[in-house]
Amino acid sequence: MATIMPTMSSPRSADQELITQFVSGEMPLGQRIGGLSMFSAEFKRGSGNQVFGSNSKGIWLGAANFEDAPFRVSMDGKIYLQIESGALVIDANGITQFDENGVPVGFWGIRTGMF
Amino acid sequence: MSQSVFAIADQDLRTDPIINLKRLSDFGELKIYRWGNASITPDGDGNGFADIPHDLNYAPSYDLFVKLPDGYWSPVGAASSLAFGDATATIFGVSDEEKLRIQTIGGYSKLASLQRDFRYYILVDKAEGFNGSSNIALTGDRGMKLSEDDVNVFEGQEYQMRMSTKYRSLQYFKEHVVQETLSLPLMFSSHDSQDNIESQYVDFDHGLGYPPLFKAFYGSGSTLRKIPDNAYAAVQASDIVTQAYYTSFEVVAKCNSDRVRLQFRRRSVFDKELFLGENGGSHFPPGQLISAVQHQPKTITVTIQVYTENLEGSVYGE
Repeated sequence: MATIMPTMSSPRSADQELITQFVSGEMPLGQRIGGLSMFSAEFKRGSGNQVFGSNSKGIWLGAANFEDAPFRVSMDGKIYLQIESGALVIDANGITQFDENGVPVGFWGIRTGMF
Repeated sequence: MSQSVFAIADQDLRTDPIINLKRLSDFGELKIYRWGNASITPDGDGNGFADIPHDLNYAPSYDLFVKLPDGYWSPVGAASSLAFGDATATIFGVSDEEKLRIQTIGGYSKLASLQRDFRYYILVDKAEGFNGSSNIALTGDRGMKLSEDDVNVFEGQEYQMRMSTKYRSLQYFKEHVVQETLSLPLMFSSHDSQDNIESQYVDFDHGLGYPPLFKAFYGSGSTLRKIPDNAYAAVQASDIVTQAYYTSFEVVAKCNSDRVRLQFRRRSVFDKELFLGENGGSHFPPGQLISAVQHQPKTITVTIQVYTENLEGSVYGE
């Protein structure tokens, strides 16, 4: 079986990397050791929602996936803090408060023509 | 109601009762849109007005103070013989979608031809039902805004904001509510003392060094009445119409750079008609109580709220 080498132009998902056959003498493309999953496109440590991870969307803490995490930082530098009753998003422009329905109800920062 | 975005307390937020929180974003706050000075020189009959235009597109709430002849500042809203020496002269404010109007109406007027100075505060907050768009220009880029529940803070109208750093807010100075009691004794007129007038006051020394915006209330039965008391103006007017046969009761609140003073004025006029009628035309001996209505002794609770706004401070834009 041919060895599949990941390249920048054709990145593979973590699952693809995991099924890629190991070639003796080379570093594996992905590894799972206990609760630790490491791939070039994704990193996860922990189990259930007690997970710290990173992938192409950013880094996160407290959920299995980026979108569900109560704490996450996106690749464009936004920090998301989320609880059931709402969320805070912090970026270089300021802090935005969202209610439980996703409506922004508070802002503190810089935004052209808002004040 | 949503949970607080932020709150600032004197002590531990987890244990402070809400009343002690200096700022709680669960509730909206009064937002001052424009503030400044205005003057009116009424005509010979005491009538005059001054208009302060605004671009809110709705009738806003406002606060209005007038400088009294004794140099104190007093909230505007009702006739006050105690303040102006003329119970029939009235000064009041009205707002609509274009302006705040301050108006004087003369009566027997002590207002005639004399310049009166005012301090006004036009608020972003509405005084009427209104759901449209205001014309407030948003030219600033930095600050903090909190909107009402379910209102998008980036798209909502300014009057839908619980707070915005675009505006000055009315903030309490130190203890926001201060109470005192004032004991008023029995008061009456008699055959040999036919027109009794009594004034008593209670002072609150605020220590600000400037005359502050304030609100004042006094207890009346089980209710708390705000000063100036418009309901009282009607009572006072009827006194004049009936040639002062009946008693009157008047209260004024005013402040200067040292204190806020709540002053009560009670008047009891001897009722000759009643006197003669009840005695078949014969006179009572001197000293007999026969005033139309006596003022019973009472203890009045007075309350003030002192804010940080300086009534003689800079105006908007300065």
